[in-house]
Amino acid sequence: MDKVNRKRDRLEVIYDILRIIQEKHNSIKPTPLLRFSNLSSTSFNDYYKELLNKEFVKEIIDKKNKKFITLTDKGFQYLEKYKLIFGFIKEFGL
Amino acid sequence: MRGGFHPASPEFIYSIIVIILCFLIYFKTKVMYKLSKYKGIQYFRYTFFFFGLAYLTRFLFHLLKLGFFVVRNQRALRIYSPLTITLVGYFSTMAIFYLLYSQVWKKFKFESFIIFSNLLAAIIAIISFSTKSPIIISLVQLPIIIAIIYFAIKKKSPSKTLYILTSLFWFINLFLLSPGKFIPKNTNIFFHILSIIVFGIIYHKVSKWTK
Repeated sequence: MDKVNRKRDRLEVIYDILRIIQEKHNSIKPTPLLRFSNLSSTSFNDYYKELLNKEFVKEIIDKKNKKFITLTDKGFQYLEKYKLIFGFIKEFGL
Repeated sequence: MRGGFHPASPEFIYSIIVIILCFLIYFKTKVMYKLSKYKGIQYFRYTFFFFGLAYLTRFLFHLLKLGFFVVRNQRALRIYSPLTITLVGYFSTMAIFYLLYSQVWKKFKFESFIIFSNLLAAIIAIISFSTKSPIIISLVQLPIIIAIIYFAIKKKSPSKTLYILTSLFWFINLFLLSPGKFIPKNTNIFFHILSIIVFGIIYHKVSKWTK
């Protein structure tokens, strides 16, 4: 089954959200992030809260009082480690 | 020396190597699990944690046995022997369960898995304590091992052979708890070497992904 048709698992969703932020020069507003992540708003909020709690992302309010989401060092570290984690999962069929 | 267990015996060296490899696999995957919170990795880690405990219990039993033999305390040995079988039964059943569940958790979402596996492992431990025999452990673990082999063959995972061998070697190890009874002594060393190779390969593969 290809990636488009099958349901993404939790690990992939988290990776996709972080990758989108990184690709948008590490600064994106919540609404476009929700749109690009291809999730329902309820699911998105759950994942978003989790990413904040895990300190993978942080919120920044600019001078015009607009909220932006950026990756933390931990978030960048996760993105780097993701390939290894995914390789490990495949290797051991987990 | 009785049972052939002394600090220079192959059994002693084998046990130490396998225990170290099991705990190294467990600790090496800690960061990966903390970062991903991926359930499959969690079950995989617990497999080796419990295997490590099972091998450690077995190793300590042999050490105690050696100590009691030296001081000629046969009564103490009679007390510790069933206790070892009980602990080995519990830890190894948990390890085998986690190995199976690490393979099938996506297919069979089993919410009460931890309660169920603990309960069954405890029952096996109690039965093996009262019967003082590792046979009961192997009888209960056999269907789980068959299930591991079945799902490993079905899966396209590159490590399926390792899972099959780990399960089979553990099964053989259960019989080695009663030295010389079920498996000829000379073949022990053959299984020990193969076990070390299998655990070594798993550790090497884990290291590759956890640099």
